[in-house]
Amino acid sequence: MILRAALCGLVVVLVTALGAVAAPPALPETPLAPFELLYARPFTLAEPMEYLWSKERPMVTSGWLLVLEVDPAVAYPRQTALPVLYAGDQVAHYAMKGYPSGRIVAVVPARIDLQSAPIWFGTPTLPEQVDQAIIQAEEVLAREAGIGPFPSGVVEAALAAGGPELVLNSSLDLEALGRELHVRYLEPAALK
Amino acid sequence: MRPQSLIPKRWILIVIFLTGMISSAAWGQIATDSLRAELTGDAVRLTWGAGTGPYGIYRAADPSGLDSADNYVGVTGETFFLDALDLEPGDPVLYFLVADPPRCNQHFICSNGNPCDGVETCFDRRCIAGEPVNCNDGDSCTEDSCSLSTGACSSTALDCEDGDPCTLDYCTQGLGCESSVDPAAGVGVAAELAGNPLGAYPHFEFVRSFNEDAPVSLAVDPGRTPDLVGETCDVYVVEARSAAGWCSDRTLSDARGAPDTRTFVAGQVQDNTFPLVPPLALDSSAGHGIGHGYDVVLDCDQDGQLDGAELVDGLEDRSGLYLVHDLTQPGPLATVQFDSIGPEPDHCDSFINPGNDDMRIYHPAELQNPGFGGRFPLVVISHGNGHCFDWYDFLGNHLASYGYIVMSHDNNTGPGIETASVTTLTFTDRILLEQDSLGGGVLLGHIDSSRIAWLGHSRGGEGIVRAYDRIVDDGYVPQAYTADDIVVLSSIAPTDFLERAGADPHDANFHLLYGAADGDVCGCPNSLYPFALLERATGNRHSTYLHGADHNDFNCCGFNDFEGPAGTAIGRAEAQQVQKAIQLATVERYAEGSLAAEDFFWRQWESFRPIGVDPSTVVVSEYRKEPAQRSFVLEDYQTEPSTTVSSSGGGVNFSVLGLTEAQLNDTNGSFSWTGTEPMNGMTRGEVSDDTRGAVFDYAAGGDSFYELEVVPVEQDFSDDRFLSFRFVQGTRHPLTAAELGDLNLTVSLVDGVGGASAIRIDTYGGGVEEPYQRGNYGSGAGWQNEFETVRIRITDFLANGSDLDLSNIRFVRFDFGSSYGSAQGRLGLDDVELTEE
Repeated sequence: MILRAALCGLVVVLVTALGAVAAPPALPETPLAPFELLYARPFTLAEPMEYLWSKERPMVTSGWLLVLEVDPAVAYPRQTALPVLYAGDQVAHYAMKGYPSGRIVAVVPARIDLQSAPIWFGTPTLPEQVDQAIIQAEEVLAREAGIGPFPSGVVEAALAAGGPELVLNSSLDLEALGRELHVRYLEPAALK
Repeated sequence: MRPQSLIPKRWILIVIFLTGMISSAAWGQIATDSLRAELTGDAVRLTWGAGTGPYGIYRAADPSGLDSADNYVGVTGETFFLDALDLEPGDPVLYFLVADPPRCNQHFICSNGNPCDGVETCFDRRCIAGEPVNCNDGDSCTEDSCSLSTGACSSTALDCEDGDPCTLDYCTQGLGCESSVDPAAGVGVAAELAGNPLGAYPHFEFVRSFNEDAPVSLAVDPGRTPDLVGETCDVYVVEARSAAGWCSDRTLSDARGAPDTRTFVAGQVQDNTFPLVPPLALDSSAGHGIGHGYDVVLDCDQDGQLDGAELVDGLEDRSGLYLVHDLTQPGPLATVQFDSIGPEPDHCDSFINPGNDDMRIYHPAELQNPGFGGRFPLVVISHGNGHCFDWYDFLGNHLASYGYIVMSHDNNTGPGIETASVTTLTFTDRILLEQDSLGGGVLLGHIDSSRIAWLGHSRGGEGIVRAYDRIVDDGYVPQAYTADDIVVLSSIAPTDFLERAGADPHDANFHLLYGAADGDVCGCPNSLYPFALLERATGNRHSTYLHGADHNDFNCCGFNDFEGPAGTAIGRAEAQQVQKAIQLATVERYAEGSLAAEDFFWRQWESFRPIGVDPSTVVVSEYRKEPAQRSFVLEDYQTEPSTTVSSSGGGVNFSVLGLTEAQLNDTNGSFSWTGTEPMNGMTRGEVSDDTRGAVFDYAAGGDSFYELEVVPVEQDFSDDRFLSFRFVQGTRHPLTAAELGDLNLTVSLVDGVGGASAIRIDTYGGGVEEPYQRGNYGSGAGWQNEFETVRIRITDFLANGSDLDLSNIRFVRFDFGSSYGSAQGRLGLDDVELTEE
């Protein structure tokens, strides 16, 4: 036992010395479904918000605030192209705060039907380059990979966790709520 | 410009009896007897008798809170009807305030009549300064002006003539007017004297910059200056003088305390090489710049005065030598930093529109001193994806301590590069337009908006290039600056999503800082190529490639993504030593015109690097001058695909093997050497790029050569200063793997009468670096190919009486093999050219 512990310690030292532990986690293959939908809350904005996370840059007045549990490797902050998070026919925005917890707070810029719309990570690219044609093509790939909407029970539980529709003035209010969700779901203390 | 105000920050309580009489009580030092109230019927008109203004008028029952739009009445000079003021004749007293800043209700009221400082406008009852007309045309050899009558810009050639018949005056791009002493003036003779001894031919290098902790030597080559043989001269090291300074004052005073006395003998340069300045013997301080200049004089009649035929290193505005302190250490200025935080609740990576409203500003503390009038260049830092504006304190404070105002801002990198570029563009405008309010106005008047450096990291590194590209190509018009005001782009491990169509530095001066162990923007084959941005840049460009540095070593707090061989990680602290020094040198070169900084861009790192950098840290440097300073491009492989004809039209002779000219692009997604992809490891251009070069190899057991013929009209090299070229070792090639070390070779100039002179490149302190031995992407070890620039002074080929005829050079020749350097190797070659100083 002592020998085994010593060997384990040696392995840790060697791995550290080799720098192997520092390498970023490899990007998973896409399309890729999130593990879980933890929270879903509809919102309405009195003041429209320009949404920059798609090529069309729509003005948004309603949508969903989601918390998803995903493969942490997806949420690792990188400079190269990242898997794009899709929700139905929308590109969702998520902040680079989900590593290593694997939980991300996402904004869907339209009131899609969560019971019927799939949510998935598609081919890595820049969100600002994604248009409707790309979204449609990515959805085909996702469905071919067997990715569908979350089960009805999961959606209902997420809606229950989220609560009633939020009527907000502006994106700043949405921002504040997103930050609150970050603290609630993503901070290590919240995971215990 | 705001309308002139005589009463800044002061206010007056005026008591007006509606009889045309004024009685008042004054606060401050305002004389109130020049105020007039004219009552006419049911209207009242207030004037400020001094004839200036207009000034805002406010009405309230007491002074507190008067200076708000709700209490605004109008401006002096206007007529107010009593009804509109809710007054009636007979009201005994009213309270008004005349305050600064002036208030307005129409644009014309704000105009100061000067179209060159922009069009003043009235907004929310406040006069808003216009954006000054920016007439900077980016040409440092023109004088740019704005017409006070029309606001139109005009440029005229800079008149560098100083009226001194003793000097020759000229303009140098990037530096402006310079002078040298007219050789006919009889005030000394310009010469190269200071430098370093070398272990092999040419036995001495004449260089400009020296670290303060390194010795400086003096050398005289009797072959080039035979008149000195047998002479005994006093050798002076004097505080640097301008050309005009030498003309007006020829007395010599040695900065070391006393001159040396040296006797020069027949023989070789190494027989006439002497210690000149011991380490740390002289002052290296340079205000808040870098490089303390000295000139070197041979006073051969030993009279303590420069005479007509005596040699001077530095007989011009440029110094003969610069002593440079440790660039990794803070500069002499105390610094202050503050944040400007917007309403978004998350200040690094928000959930909706990240990157819109926060910035951190670093500046010299002396800006806080009342009456300080200095102006400093602006450095903007644009961070990468998932990073934060407060991750660059080490760099911001470092640069601020050398006299820069540095602003690191939120960067909207999540959606992509277009949004990132917008944040760089708009934050640069913000600090310029809001300098009167940021930090309580501490920056006001202290930012030199004609000298802006953009530094960006990762997506932000591409973002700054995209931002520049948008101004140049896409018609984006910043409010407070132009493309010509961007003196340099410095990209740290940038992405290249937009490729040539969207991320083109054009003619901007460009710097690339990059780590070979980057686990994110990895330089992997078929990935985003940071070096492609460098290749596209057509201005001055240089790169600093660090072995063992990962992506986030260049900020404070990103994840460690090191990918490389065991034991080669240099760590964040060491990477930032290099970063601080080289980015300081970069902004000093392009924002301040520092010549001392330039040597850090190209001299072999093994022999010249910032003092505080660990000697074991491997850095590979590339440097290419802008086209205006290339006097002759012998071969750049861009225009002539034949391997037997150069791009300049001369013939090419060779015995090396496998010579191929093609685009510098590894296209097969692997670094393995397969034998079928000549450009293996060339991560220099995307498919859309056009950068080309040559590759070849030579095996052990014999010597090989590659020779470029010089076309007749370009055979006179006597006025050129440097022969420059860049070589690279081919990664994972069996011959590279077999040699596995710096590759050395010999370069020769061959004249038309049988003369030749040859120099082995490692004489200057290192050969062509072997590729960083990182694995993955195929079998074997070796990461992307690392071009390294070699620049050799043309006069080095004349050392020790080589008898080379520089006016008649027929061939530039590279020899390979054990007789000339490394026994074997696989090489890439590009940009063989002659450049000016």
